[in-house]
Amino acid sequence: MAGGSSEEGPRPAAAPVRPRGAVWLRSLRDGTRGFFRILWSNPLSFIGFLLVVALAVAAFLAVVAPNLVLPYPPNQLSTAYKQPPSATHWFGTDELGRDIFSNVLAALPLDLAIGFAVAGASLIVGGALGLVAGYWDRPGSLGGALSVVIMRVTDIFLSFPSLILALAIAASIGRTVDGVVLAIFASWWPYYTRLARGEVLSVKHQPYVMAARAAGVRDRRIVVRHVLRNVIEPLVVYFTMDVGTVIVVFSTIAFVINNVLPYPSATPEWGVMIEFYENFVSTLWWTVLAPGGAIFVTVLAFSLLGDGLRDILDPRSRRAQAAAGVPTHVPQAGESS
Amino acid sequence: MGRSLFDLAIFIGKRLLYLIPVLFGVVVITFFFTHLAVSDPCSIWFPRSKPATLAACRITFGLNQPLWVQFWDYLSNLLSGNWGTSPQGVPVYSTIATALPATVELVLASLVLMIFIGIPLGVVAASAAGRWGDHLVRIFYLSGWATPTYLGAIIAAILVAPALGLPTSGEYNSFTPPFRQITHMSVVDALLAGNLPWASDAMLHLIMPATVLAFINMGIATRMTRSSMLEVLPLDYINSARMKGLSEFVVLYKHALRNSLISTTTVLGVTAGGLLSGTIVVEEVFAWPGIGSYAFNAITGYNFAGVIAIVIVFAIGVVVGNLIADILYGILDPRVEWR
Amino acid sequence: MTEPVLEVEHLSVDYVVGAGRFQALRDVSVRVERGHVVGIVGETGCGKSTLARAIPRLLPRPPAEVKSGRIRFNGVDLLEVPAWKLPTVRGTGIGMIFQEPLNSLNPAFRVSVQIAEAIHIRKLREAGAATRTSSGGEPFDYSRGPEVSRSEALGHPFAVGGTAAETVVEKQANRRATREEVLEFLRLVRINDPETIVNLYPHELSGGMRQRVMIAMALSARPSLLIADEPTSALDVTIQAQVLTLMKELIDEVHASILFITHDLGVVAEMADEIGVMYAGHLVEYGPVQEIFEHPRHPYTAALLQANPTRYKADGPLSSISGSVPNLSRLPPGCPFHPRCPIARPSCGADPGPSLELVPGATEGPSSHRVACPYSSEVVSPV
Repeated sequence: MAGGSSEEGPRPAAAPVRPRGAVWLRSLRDGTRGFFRILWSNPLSFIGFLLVVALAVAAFLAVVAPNLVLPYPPNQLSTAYKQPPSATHWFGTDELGRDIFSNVLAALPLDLAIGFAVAGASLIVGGALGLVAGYWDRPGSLGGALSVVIMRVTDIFLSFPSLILALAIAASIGRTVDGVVLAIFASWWPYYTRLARGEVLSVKHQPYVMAARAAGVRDRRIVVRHVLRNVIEPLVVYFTMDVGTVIVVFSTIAFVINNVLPYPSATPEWGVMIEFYENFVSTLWWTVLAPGGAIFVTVLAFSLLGDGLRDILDPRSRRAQAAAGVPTHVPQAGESS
Repeated sequence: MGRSLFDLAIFIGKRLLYLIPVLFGVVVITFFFTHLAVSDPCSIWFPRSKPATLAACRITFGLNQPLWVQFWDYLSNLLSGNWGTSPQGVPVYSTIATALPATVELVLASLVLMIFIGIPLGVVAASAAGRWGDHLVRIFYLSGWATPTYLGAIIAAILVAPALGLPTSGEYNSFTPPFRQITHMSVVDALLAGNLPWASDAMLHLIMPATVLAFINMGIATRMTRSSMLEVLPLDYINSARMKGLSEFVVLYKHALRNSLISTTTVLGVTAGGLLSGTIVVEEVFAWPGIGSYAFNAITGYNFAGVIAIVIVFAIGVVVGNLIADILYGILDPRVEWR
Repeated sequence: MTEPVLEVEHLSVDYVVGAGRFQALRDVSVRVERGHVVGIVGETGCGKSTLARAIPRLLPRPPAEVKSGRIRFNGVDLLEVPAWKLPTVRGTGIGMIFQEPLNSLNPAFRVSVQIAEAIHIRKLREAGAATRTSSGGEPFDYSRGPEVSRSEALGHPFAVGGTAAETVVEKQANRRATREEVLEFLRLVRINDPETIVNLYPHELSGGMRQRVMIAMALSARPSLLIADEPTSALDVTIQAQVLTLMKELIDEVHASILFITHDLGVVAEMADEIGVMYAGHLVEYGPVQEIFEHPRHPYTAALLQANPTRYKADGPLSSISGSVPNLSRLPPGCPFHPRCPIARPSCGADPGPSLELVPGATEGPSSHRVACPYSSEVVSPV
């Protein structure tokens, strides 16, 4: 792995003290710098990062200035029926003459919002539950009892594929975008709970947490200042990959359950488009391939970014890289014999 | 605690006991989600019906009772082997009994593909870590991850299969094979009947859906193999294997992979979940008469008894997958003791 | 004088990590005569393990990069051997014992399997010897004494797999013979109950036992050179002594050529014929063991001997070397030791640094006393 430069971490010698700027600003700047150094070390995750930025900019423009980026208003009918992709219609048109490219691009903000909403809510709710269950788990205490309940419920949720539960819930609580988003969330948070709890358990017995406890720092403060800070990293990596996964799951549910969104009248959504055009796939293949390709690219972008980050942040693979890449007996600066 | 067969039996017994509270929780969650959300499914099942018909429907399905009574009835029926019926009156249990083997066959086929393609790819990626081979493998498995199952299935069915001349619908060319379907696994049944042409036909039908399912889930096996290989490769026993004069192929695939597989098996449970949820769409597209397409229809048709039963079956599938993974883990790693 | 088993000449190795470049080995030359034990001593991070791994080309690339030099093993330059032929080189003549007995045996296979593998490969080589290779590795055949022969070390590109013509009966007979040989080698390393040990997994053995198995495995290939990379450092002191005793006895029994890497001066004093002292990737002194211990000529060697608590000082404060090992990515110019050297003068900090020269008064010879310090006459011997 070419992860070498990130292995060394901040060198004490290379950190000249600059009094300017607030502390948080400086740590933000250092964090950003570290982030980019990590990205550089893996070309694929850097490509993923560029793609994510491009998607965000495109989504922003599609919301703020639709006339600027969309060649045709979404869902506008025309007489150019069933056109294959061309210079005037980049992704072709459907049987009613609607421009597929405009619809795919107009769907981007909604799909990204769905991904971020579900993954973000799961991160916050599931992460918080995992934090509580992991930190206050002394048997016999109130926290211990709560922790047991949380983990039992989580175990049950994790014991079957989340897609089937999300489908079942979505089918029953309402076949709308909000309903599907809620359904996915209901089956999604337990993964974050398990992940967060595992991380907390591994951090909890670290010397610095013990030291803070011994010094009489209150639990709430320890959790926020010491535990959370060390747990958040893997959670965010997982979140990054999840944004894409949620989009896939949403579109799958939209595919299974018809009429999540009335198409063509409402805002387009990729999964709904594919479901709608599925019957034309052998003749108007572009109508399916365009939204499908959009999902593919979006998920790939977030996965490349997240997968690269996970590789670098995962202590297991980090250790492996260190062992494979950096010989252990090369002394570092300032190390005495 | 040890490695005898008796210890293994106790280990398996304990894990199966653990299944009971999990299954109870699964039933509670799905039952209440489905029943609370839809207060009157009869009006959805039989729209534009006379009020008298609807009332009869409610009595048939016990919907006029309080929810907890319904739950109690459902649970006691479930334990006595009556899994309920679909709105049209088809018993759920018998449908699942014939559909499940077909799904098991499909899942096993794609598991074989994942093992024989995904794991070697992980080895290739690890031995080329940070170089082009690694990047290509990563793009390959992330592509599978990024492809929505239905899109992959549709493309495979409409564009790939015709080009390769492979069938894309059902288990056999004809819906009624000239032999008794004993196990309801297409290839196995044909082989049991000694009918080789039908067996090969069944295998051809299996290729496309199994490949799609495997491609979508390939990342799980490849990624895990790659990262555990990266952990094993720098260790000295790899070097001492090299020092014996073993070829790099033997070093990688015997000495290193044998130890990496120990961690790779642990993700088998995850794989079971991924493969099972994949069947919902794949089976529907390829008209595979398994539990996945049954799930598809149960969900779109508000067949709640069917949905709950499927969730139960999937939960059992995941737990059993994890159990098999743990047993494999113990077999592969001589240091493990059953407990 | 016959040709040496191993001749490392002017070997330089870098580690390239990101933008950083660490000079792990600089212009190192080592020579192992037949039947001799050469000790390489130095602190952690001086490059001695890099040297041990560079010889059978086990260094991972990247990050390791061989910049220059030659590694002549039985007359063949190992650096010229294409990668796909490397297994035949390793299998035909170099054995290695690693530091961590915990990690150097494969946890997934029984002891018998792992040793049998080495024996199997050796047999394949011996079977093909008539056509493809001249025999190698006789020095370890203790029944025949220190017979010496030149090895091509190469040939037989596929070191794995049996011949298809073997019948089932032959296979069984072969398997029995291999098992007998495994037991024999386990007895050789003084394992009392080899019939039980062969069927165990590495994790069921103690550290000392594992290291004995490791030694048996290395010997079972009958290598003409054995590289021992700190074989006792990871063991308890009592076990350490046992393993060292074993190795000493084996040296006499099998007339081994051994390259012995260690940070423990006491160990080399007992075992080695010649020793080389390494500092920051440089070989700073080389010569017969007794001469170096009695009259060290490099200030670093002298300081190292001074700092060794058990052997040379009974009471009084422990002495240490002032300063610290330099960062290998930013070595000082000139002599790498000059910032810490008690007798350094300004010219020591000027490039090029001193190279290994014959000690004044020593007679010219392949293993005579050499030192990389122009002011070696000023070095005071400890005691």
